[in-house]
Amino acid sequence: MGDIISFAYQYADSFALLALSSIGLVIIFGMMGVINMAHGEFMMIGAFGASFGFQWGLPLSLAIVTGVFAATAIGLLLERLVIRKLYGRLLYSLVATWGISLVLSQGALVLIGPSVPSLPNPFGTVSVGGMNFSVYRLFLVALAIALIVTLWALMRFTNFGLHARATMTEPDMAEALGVRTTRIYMVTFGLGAALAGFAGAIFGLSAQIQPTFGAAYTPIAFIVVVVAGSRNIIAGLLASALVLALVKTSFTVGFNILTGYVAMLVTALIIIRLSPTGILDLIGKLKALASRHRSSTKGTSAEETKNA
Amino acid sequence: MNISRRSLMKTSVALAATSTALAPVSAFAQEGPIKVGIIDDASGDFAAAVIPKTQGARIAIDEINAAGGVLGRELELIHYDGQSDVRRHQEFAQRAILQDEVDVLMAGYTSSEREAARAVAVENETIFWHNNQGEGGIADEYSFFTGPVPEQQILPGLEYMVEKYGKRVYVLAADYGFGQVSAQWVQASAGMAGAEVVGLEFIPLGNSEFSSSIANIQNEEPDFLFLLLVGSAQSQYFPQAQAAGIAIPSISTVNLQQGYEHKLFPAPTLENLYVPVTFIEELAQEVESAQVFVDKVRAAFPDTEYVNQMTRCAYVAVHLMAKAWEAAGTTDTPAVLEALHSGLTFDAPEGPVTLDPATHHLAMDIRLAQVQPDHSVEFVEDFGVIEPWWLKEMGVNLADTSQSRQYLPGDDPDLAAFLE
Repeated sequence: MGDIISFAYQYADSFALLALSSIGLVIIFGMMGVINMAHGEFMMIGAFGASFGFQWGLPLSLAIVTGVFAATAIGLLLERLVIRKLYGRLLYSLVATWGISLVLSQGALVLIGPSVPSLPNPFGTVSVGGMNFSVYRLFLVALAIALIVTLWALMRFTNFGLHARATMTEPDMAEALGVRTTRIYMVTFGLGAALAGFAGAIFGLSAQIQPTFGAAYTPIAFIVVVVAGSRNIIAGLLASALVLALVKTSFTVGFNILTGYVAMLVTALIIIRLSPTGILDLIGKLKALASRHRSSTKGTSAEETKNA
Repeated sequence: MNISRRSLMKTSVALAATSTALAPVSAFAQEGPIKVGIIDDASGDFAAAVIPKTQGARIAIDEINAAGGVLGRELELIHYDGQSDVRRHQEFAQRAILQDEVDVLMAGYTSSEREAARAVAVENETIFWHNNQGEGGIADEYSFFTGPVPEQQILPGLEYMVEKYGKRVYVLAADYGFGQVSAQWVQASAGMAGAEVVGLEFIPLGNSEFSSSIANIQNEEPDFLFLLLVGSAQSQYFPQAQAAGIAIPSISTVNLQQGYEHKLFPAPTLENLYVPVTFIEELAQEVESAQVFVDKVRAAFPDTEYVNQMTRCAYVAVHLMAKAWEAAGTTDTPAVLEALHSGLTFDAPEGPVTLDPATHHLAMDIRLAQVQPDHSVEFVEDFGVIEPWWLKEMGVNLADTSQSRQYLPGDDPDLAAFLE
């Protein structure tokens, strides 16, 4: 029983890491197809902002909000100055955002220093079945789920969400119908930066906050986002994070940390190879394969005759 | 215009005379400065730990220049930012040696960075210094070391922990050269101390997720932990372990003394961590010369985060080279190597050190520090001066016979007996 609880805890923890690292990026990539190589640096700005906020005497929650503001502000600034000119030009946005990431991380090192005071971790430990678990890590799981649900609700029930989905699917048609697509892009980029900053500030509760803080999360975020695909960002993110976290946890528990990473990467590789547009389309293909197989074993069905 | 040859000659001589008279009178000889090449990480994953190391070198160089330099020549620091990148270390080593023609190269934090730069130095017969603790075992004609090595840290430290806490040890080691070799030393030391390694995990560099390792540790319930975690990402083990309620004492030969994690994480995250060190800033509480050194560093660099072990290592290295150059009367490598084999001593911040001619390592004072709940440090044991004896036991005598080889624990039959 203890082993099952331990596995579930590690799985949830891994899922939370993958989901929180990538939720900011999935919006930007899913919406605009922009490859934001500075994603990790937005996380870093969030953590730095939170650290400064806390040093200035703000309570922890407001300090985190400070981090989010900082990341959003810089995100919006970059969107207006740089990203805006690169929509639809995928490779240029890759190079430009890579440059931005270098400027941000080295700029932080030069202007601020190699590290800033860390944030306090107000969470304690909880005992279940004789094992101790960190409340903070459970909080991360709850937060990941809450953010995904909120994002889904935003997309599903608000005007902005409607316009955003329209712009994502058919930008020209949306523009023709009166949606101000440039504004949608700007707000979306800002939202992505805000979420990245939020994740960074939250991760900053247990990490050394340094200019290279975000660099470790960018690759993870990318893998999750590319596997998620851009068709349906919420469902894709969920499926991607759940599947990759499961593989990673299983192989880590079974073997070791390195094997867990490698297995996760190999899985991502296989998924992309089989379905370059993301895991949802892979699931769709598998479903189609299964139903075709089912109907062929049943003999000619009315369905098949109809489709013939 | 017709310029007669005589008037041209007269003008030239006049000009030459004037320029010599007007030439700035330099306090240093006209041969040019002695170039000290340093590749230290000022950015990237290791920057926080390595920036203090460069400060140590700068202070030594400034001190020596203020006292008149070496052989009447000024010491010039040529510093490259290794960017926590192995490839940069190789590139800059080549540039420093082939382009800048440095008289000595001091480079590398991780063993991979060190080896990248050291290979270039050795290939070009340039004297090389490595200035932090390491996995030891390198016996090379041109390479010298100021940091403690396993027989000075792992052996006495592990013996102490076994005596105090028990025989079951769990090891977390960074998954690369240094971590792997150090883990072998831990296994061998444990075997010799009659202890049992109940778990050994290698953690990839850059990994910051420890929930699986922590779960494993909770399962095994060891008496103490041996930690060999490198880089700021891996240091996230400490807050995660604390949040998970791990109250097991631990020992590390790399944490705290370099990355000063006790200043970066809030108390009591690192409580009950033991570190065998030659020098850390808190030694100023116990030893007068350490206090003097710390004051010097903080006066020159008021914003520095911590005066770590590597500040002392780089400082000692520059001073020892200065002594060698003076003793040799030249910067020509063969003569300097001979001088380095003459049993040089120096008053390091923690106490006098001797450069052992046979092994190119230092005999130095080692003390065991324990982190308190408020993150202050207490020195609970003084191991005295420990010689770098292991290479000698392996038959190395670089003063006599030159060679270039890294000895591993597996090469020693006494240690190999305990390795899987």
